Amino acid sequence: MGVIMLLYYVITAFIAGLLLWNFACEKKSVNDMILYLLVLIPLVLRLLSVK
Amino acid sequence: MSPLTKGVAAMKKTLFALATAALVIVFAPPAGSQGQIPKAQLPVLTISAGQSNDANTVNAVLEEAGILYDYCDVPTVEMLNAGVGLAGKKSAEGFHVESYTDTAKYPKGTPYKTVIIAIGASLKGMGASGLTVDAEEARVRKIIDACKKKKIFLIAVHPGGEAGRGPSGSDNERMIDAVAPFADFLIVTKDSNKDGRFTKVAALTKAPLIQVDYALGMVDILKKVFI
Amino acid sequence: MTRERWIKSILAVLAVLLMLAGGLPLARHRHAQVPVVAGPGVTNVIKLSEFLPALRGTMADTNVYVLEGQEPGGKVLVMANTHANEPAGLLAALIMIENAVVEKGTLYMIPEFNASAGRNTKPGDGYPLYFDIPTEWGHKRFRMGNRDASPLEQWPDPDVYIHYPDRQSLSFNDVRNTNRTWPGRPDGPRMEQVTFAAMELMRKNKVNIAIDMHGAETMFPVTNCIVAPIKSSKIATLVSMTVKAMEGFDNHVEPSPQNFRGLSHREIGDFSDTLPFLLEAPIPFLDQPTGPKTTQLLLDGKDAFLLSLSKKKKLFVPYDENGWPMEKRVGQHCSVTLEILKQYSKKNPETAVRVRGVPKYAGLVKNGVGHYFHDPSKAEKKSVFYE
Repeated sequence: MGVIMLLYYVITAFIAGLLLWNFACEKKSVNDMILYLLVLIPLVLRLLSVK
Repeated sequence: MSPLTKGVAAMKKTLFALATAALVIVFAPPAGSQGQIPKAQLPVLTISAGQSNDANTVNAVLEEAGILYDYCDVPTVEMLNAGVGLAGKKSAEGFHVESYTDTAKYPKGTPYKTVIIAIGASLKGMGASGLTVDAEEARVRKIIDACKKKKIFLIAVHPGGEAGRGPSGSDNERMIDAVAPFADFLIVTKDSNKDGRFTKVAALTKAPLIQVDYALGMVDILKKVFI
Repeated sequence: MTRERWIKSILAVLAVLLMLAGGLPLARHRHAQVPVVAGPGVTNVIKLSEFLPALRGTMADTNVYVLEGQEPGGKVLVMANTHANEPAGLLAALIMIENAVVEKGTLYMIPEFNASAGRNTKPGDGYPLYFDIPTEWGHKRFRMGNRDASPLEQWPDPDVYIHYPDRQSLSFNDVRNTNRTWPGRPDGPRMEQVTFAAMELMRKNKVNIAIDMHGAETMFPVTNCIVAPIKSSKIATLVSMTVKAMEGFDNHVEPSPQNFRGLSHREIGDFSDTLPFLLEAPIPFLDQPTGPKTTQLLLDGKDAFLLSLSKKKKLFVPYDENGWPMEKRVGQHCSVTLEILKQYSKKNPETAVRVRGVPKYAGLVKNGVGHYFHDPSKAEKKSVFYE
């Protein structure tokens, strides 16, 4: 794995973390909670080397 | 019936018979123009009208028939006039030259006796040679004029089938218009002539026309032409 | 638990279930294996990484089946699944591996040239994950791949792919397309490494012919044809004329454009002495205006929309109610490959290649593709390899 590809995985993990944090902090909007989870799905699949 | 009436009837029959005979003589093809294979002489140059792969088909057929040839995809009149060896020109990008003529029999510079033109338009091929359809048509007409002036035997070949045809005014039809009416001999596949286009041309120009089932069938035809 | 926590828990569980429902089939597909029974002609099976060690241990490494004849002769490289959503080439290559016996010369067969693409999917276009070929002993299952390598092997894509070495600008995703990364380089992106390794195979073994088997849409003009550069065009023309006359199917010759870089039919010829040929068989499945992308459409090529377009003369192949079944496509690939070897061998007797045991077009149309596959459960373990 090259350096740039590794960095992209790090960025992906960071953004996934941000989304999880936002999901955890979200108190009011159910729509936003769903949005955070939906956006998280492809990032998780990429981090798990599924897709 | 009175003798006068009989005479008029007989005269009418005679006139009718004479008129029919005249029509047959005028419109029937001369003996041997359809289906007869003429003889042509070497050395031979093969060229393209339209820059499709059909020129390669003609070259491949000549090789299978054991006939040596020179080839250029976009020759100029000067190259044609230079004869065998095509003035020593070499292939370059968009310009292809091959020279296989037996120079022991026909030394460099020997005038070509026969030119075989492969008719088939390809925008890709023309583009690769830096030509538009208009430029290609003009180039082909100049070459044909030069051939006619030098009394070079012109063989027009259309092996591309239906894919090498198109509606009136299309690139393929323009190439046919530029070449076929001036050919001394036409060889086409049956698929190429489904609408009888080449039959009509041959009937007008009285050039012999041979139809083959497949392009590979041209091998035997060209053997008979040259050998 | 508060209401908010309940909602979050339910949503999280649903998200996990969605990930599993979507992700598990994809993970299974990525690791699914297709058994190949090496036939009597196979003398060795090596890895492409032998020609570039950087590929070793990656999903881009792939099997190279060597079929060496008793008598030395010419050498031929046959590649398939450069685009893994054009499976007729893969099936033709596997039929050759399982049945061919080389009498003179050597065949190098790479059935999964873009191995990463073979393990990639295109669910957004509704592609099935697998397709089955019926055989005399059951169904043989194959992965349906994607045109390009998976980003799991090569990521990220550049905004514009600058082709090496001429610096022509190509589409961003063509950096993962092994028919745009020829001739490749050893330190380039992964797919350039794959094509470089193949170039090394050809250069080191002095391969005479390279055949790259593909499929193309019926609405695309470069279909049902052999694409060849000038140096291969005479043989291609003879092949085209012969298969039309002797086997009854069309396969016209398309010239390889000199200014379109990265393709096998261009770069293999420009960067080695090998004569390249790229074969295209029509694959209605890839056409845009079709019905749903089902395995049935993939296998028989029958589609009402394409039939309507055919009647309006919008297709580049003669298409009717019979579609364009897999048997025809695989048959075309097998026959054209065999004819290329035959025509080349006629002109080059010292480097001739003679092969027997490979079915031709008529045989495949009559018997079906599955007839030529052998049952891996009945084969000796050492003869079974996996793609």
